[in-house]
Amino acid sequence: MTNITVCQLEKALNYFDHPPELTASEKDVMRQRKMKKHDVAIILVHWFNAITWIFMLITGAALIVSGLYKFAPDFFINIVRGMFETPGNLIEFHIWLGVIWIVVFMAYTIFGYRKYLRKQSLKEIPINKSKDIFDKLKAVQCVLFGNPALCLDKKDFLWLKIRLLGILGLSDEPLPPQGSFNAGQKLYGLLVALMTPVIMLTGVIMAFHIGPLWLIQWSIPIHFTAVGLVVSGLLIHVYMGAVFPEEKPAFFSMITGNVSELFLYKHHFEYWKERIVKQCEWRKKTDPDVTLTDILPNSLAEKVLKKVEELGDLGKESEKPKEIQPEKFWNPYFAGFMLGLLFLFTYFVYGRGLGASSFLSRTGTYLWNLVAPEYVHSHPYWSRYFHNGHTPLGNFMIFEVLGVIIGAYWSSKKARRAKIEIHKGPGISNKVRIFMAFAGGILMGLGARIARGCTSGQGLTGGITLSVGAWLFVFVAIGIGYFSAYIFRRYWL
Amino acid sequence: MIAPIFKQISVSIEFQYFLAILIGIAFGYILERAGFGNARKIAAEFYFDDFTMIKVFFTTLIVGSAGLLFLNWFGWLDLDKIFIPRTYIWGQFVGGIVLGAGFGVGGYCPGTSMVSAASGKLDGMAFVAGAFVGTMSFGDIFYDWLKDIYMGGAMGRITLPEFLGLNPGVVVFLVILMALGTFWIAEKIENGKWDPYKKFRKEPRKIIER
Repeated sequence: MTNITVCQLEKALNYFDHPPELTASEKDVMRQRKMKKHDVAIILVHWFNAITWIFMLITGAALIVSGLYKFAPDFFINIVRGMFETPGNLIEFHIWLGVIWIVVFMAYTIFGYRKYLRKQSLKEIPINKSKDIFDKLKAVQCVLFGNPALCLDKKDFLWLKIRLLGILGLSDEPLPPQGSFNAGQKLYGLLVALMTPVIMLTGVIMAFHIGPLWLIQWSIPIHFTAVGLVVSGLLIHVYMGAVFPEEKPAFFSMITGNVSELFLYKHHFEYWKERIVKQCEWRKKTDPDVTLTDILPNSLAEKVLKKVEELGDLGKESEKPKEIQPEKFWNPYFAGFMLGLLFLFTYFVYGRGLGASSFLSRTGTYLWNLVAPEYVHSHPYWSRYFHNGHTPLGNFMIFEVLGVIIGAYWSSKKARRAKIEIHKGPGISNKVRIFMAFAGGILMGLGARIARGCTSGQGLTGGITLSVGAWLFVFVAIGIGYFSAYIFRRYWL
Repeated sequence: MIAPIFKQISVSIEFQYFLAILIGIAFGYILERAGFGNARKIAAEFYFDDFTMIKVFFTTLIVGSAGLLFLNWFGWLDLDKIFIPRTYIWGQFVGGIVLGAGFGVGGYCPGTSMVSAASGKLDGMAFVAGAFVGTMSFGDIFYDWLKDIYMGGAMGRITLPEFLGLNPGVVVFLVILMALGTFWIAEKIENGKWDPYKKFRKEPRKIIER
C-alpha cells in the first residue's frame, strides 16, 4: 500500500458513493476513534445562542398580548409577567438581552469576517471551469459565504428530493452521502443566516422607535414572521439534536467538539472521505511506511486497494481538449477612435455626451419613490429628478446604460469572454477581490456624485467639450488613481 | 446649423429612447472590445505595464474635441446648444480624489463595471452593487455634510478656451500635442525595461491581450 499516492486514494474513495458495510469489530474500532468536528468558538457561540433564544422566546411570547398576534395561553403570560413584576421590566429585559445578543454576534461576525478574508488557503472552487449549472451555483455561494461546507450543491438537491419522497412514502432509494453538513442543515443554515439580520433590524427599530411610523408598524409582523420561520426549523433542530437517538453523537459533539469516526462514516460519508485523505496526507509525511490498513478498517482497505488496481494509474491526468482562446482586444487607438466618433454622433444628434453613473442614482431614486415618495420629493438632492414633471427613469441615460449592458454582453459573447469568473491579482483570494470590488464601488459611486459624473459622464463628456472642471477632475482622478494603486499594490500585482 | 438634430426638430420621445439604446449598445461594445471588462487590464495602467486605458481615453478626447470644432466650423453643429458639464471646482476636485481612490481599490469605474458585470464577471457585479450603495449614500447620508463642497467653486458653463483666453483651435491643438506626448511616453514605458514595481510582482510583466 505504501506506493499508493494521496491522489489515488482520493480518487478511489470517490468511486464509493455509499459507505460499504463493515464487520462488527471494525465498527467497534471506528467507534472508539474520535474526530474533531467543532472548535471552541463555535461551541460557545452555539450555547450562548441557544440560551439567549430560550429567554427571548419566553419573554417575547409573554410580551404579545394584542388580540391580533397573541398565541401564548393566558396562564403562561401571567406566570412570566409575574416573574418580572411589571410589564415594563419584561420589555426592558427582552430589549437589553436582544442588544447583548446583537453585540456578541457583531463581534463574532467582525472577527469571523477578518478570519474569512485572511484565510486564503481555503480551497477555492474554480468558477469558470465547469459547465454544470449546479457547480456554478455552488461556486457563487462559496464566494459569498466563504465556507464550501455550507454551500448547497447538486448532491444536496438530490438528498432533499429523496428525503422528501421518502417522508411521503414514495421512494425507498438510499440517501446520497453528505459532507460535514447535510442538505437539511445547510438549508436551515441559509434560512437562519437570512432571518437573523431581519430579526435584529426589526427588533432594534421597534425597541428604539427608529424611522417613520409605517416602518415601525411593519417591523412588528416582519419580526414575528422571521422568528416564526426560524422557530419552525428550530423544532426540528432540537428534536434531531436532543431527542432523536441516531443523532445523539451530534448533540455531544456540540459539547465536547468531538464525534466518533463511525458517526461521520455513516452520516457524513463525504466529510469522512475528506478527513481520511487529509489524515493519509500527513501520516505519510511523518511516517513513510504507513499502510492503508493503519488508516482504514481491513475490509474497506481491501476494497479500496482493489479499486485502485482496477482503475490503473490514476496519477496521470487525462489530457483535456484545449479550449479555444478568446479573441484579441482591439488596438487601443482604434477603440479610442471609434469611441470618439460615437461621442461626436451623440453630440450631433442629441447635443449631449454619454455617461454611466447617473443610471444608478436614477434607479435608486425611482426605487425610493416607490417606498417613500414624500421623502424623495422633498429631498434637496433626489428631488432634482422630478423637476418640471420629469421622472427618474424617463431619461436618455437609463436607456443608454441598458444598451451598454446589451452591447457589452453581445461583444463578450462574440469574443468568447462571456463567462462567470473573477478578475483579480495573483496574490489574493476570490473573497478578498469581491470585498475590494464592493468597497471600490462605494468610493467610485460616492465620488461620481460629488463630481457630477464619472469617468464617462464627467471625464470624457467634459473633456471633449473642454469644460474647465472636467479637466481638473480628470487630472486629479488619474493622479490619485496612481497613488491609490501604489497603496493597494499587493492586491493587483 | 442643423445640429443638435433633436434640438432643432421635434422627434418623438420613444424614438429618442430607442436611439439611446442603440448608442448604448455601441458604447458597451466598444468598451468591451477595448478590454475594459477586465479589471486587471484597467489596473495595469497604474502599474506602468499596460496603458490601454489612457490611450483609449486620450484618443477619444482628441477625436471628440477636434471633431466638435470641425463640425462647428462647417456650420453644422451649434456649440451653444450642446451640453457642457458645469464647473464646480471643489466638487470636481474632491469628487476626483474619492473616485481616484476607488480606482486602486476596485479597479473599475461605473461604466466599465457594468461592461464587466454584463460579461459575467462576479467582481464587476460586486462593484456595481458597491457603486449603487455609494451613489445612494451621497443623497441619503452625506448630502448635508458635502453640500458646500458639492456646490463649491461654481463657475458655470465655462470652457478652457474661455478660461485661458485662447482660441478654441489653439486649445485643441495643445490637447492633441499633450495626447501625442502621452502616447509617446506610454509606448516607451510599455516596451522599455523601466519598472518601478519590479520587486512587488508575483507574475512577469505583460500586456493582457485577450
